[in-house]
Amino acid sequence: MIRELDFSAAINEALRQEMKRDESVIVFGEDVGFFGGLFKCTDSLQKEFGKKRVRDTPISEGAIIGAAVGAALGGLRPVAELQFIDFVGCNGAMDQIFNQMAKMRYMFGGSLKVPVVVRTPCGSRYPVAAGAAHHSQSLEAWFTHVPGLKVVMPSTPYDAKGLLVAAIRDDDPVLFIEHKLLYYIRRMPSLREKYSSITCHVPEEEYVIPFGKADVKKEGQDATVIATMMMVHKALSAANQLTKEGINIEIIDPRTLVPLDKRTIINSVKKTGRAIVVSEDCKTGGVAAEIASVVIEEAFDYLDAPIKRVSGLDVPIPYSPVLEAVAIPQEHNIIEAIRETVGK
Amino acid sequence: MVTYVKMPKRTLTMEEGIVGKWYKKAGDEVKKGEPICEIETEKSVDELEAPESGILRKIIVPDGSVAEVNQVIAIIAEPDEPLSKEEAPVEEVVKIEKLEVGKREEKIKISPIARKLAKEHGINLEEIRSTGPNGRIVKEDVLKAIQKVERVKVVPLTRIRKVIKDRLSYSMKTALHVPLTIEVDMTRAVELLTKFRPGIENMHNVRLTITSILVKAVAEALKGHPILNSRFENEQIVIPEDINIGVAVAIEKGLVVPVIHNTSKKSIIEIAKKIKELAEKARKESLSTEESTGGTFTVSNLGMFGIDLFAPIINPPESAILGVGRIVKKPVILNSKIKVKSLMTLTLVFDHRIMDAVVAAKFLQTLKGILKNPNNLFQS
Repeated sequence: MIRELDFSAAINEALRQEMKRDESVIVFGEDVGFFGGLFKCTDSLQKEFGKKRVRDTPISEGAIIGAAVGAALGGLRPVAELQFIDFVGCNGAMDQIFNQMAKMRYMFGGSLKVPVVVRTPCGSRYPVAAGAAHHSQSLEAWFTHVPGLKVVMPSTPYDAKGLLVAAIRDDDPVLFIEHKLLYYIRRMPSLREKYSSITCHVPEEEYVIPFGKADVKKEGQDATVIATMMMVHKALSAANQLTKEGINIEIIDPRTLVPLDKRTIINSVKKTGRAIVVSEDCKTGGVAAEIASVVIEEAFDYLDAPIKRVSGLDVPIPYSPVLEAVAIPQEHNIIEAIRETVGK
Repeated sequence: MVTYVKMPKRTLTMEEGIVGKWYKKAGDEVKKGEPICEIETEKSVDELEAPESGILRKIIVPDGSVAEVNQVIAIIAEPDEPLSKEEAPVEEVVKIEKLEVGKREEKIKISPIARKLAKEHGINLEEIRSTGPNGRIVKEDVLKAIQKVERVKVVPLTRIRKVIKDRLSYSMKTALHVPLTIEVDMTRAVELLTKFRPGIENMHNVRLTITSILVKAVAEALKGHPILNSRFENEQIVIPEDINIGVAVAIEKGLVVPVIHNTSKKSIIEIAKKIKELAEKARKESLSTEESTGGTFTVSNLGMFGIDLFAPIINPPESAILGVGRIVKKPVILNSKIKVKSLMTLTLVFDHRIMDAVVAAKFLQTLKGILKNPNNLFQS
């Protein structure tokens, strides 16, 4: 009998449990309080913990993140929400992230700490809704490229809860990135059936998933597929199809991009001799490029084929659903890439 | 579209192949990927697939003929497509020039793990058949190659082995080896051996063996047949006065032939002692030059290993060698009666440049006689 939770409900539970445990944990962002969050992640928190600890903010990303930095310096542990990762560039929010919270501890010689968690949804909502160019991006690569930031990207409700708890307890700034399609999958029967991997047991008691520990979502020996967030589920779906063809892939979910669990990835590549990296963000300069580089640097002698990246196209995400479907990686892209790599 | 079917390059070092057998004839329809003929190379026979679909318009290289790599062997085209005026378009066979020894023009494509495996197992990359995309050698290809590699242990030639190889090769190339076999009655010899052995062992601390008896007997026989004691030198037959018999000794490293100088002047006990001494030195590899050279005739006994008969190679520059087999009790017909005798087979291999069979046979008859009644050998 497993205890199933929606992705957003797991996040909600993590926030609630941590806010109960530690008074200094506060939550703010656009629509997080009264409305309970655009995607219901902060549902009922304001009711339980009050308006001082759960605040609705103006539509000003710079203010939201700036206030989070200030609150953290003042001794609080803020969990600030950026309603869409696409808005990180708005009025100075990015500066607060990459120049302030990421660097302050270093620049002040370790005399202070900035325990901020920035929660933010990313990704395409195809086939549920059309977010278009400003609401569908995957920008995690921007943050992995800033030393001083940790970047966390859960793929399941179980991972989300444990990782968010770890993020809140971390004394350094964490970007907690949530793929927005994951909020919907469990709620929509057709998607839930297709991506049954969203169903997992989420323990009620508190638990922590440490950073830098990848999860082997599926074992196999023919190829290593490293996938992030929603792509984990697409890869698992592709794996079912491939198993029928006699190709058995291993799927590794890094869970945190910074710090990255290189050991697990490399050990897997040593076993299979093949690596395919699947990430929704656009190919050029994307996270797949970084992971592929790590593999070629540290597991070169074990490779039996070139590494393949399955990434989004280098285009702004289209509004037309037909085009949006093509702009991001789908199962058939993953299957093709694996087939080519395995040579069948 | 006219498609030229070419002799494929199966491995990097392949320069030509043989079109084994055509499965199709001119005018037949072929499908892309369908096997159309057999290709034989030095290493393998396998099938060639049609690169395109169409009609096999012309077979240019017929069954069993050789073609260079990339040479056109057939033409596939549409049924009514015009072909060029010449019988077969002459494709320039790209010859890979070797810039210098050790430098390859064509780069071998191989995956990292395949390269690593090949190196670990000492497989030459040029010999691996590639099945990966763009001619890349992949792990599977190397694994197959490893299985085909013969598992061997390599033992370098020792000094002794080299000496034996050189001397005996020389002997076979120069001397004309002819074997003669004779069965000798050793019954009396065995009786005397058994009778005298304990006493001699007590008194002289040496074990009397069949070999000692043989060596003494051979030395005696050689007195009357000096040609068997000679050697071939500068188109002359040189016959030394001294009879120096070499006795073949097997040591761990190989075969050694220490020499008993002046054998005919030694008593059987002295011979037995000498054989014992020389054999020990041989095993310790401490024979002096004099003890290893100067032989005029060689005796080699394999009887203790159960060998019935064998024809050894003449020890150069000697003119003959005696191979000795084991003593076996056999029924013999004497005066129409069956008697049990101890018989031993001797094989004399002589050099026909120096003597003829009759000469050699007479020597053997003398030797046989001596061995049959060996009482005299045990005198002094």
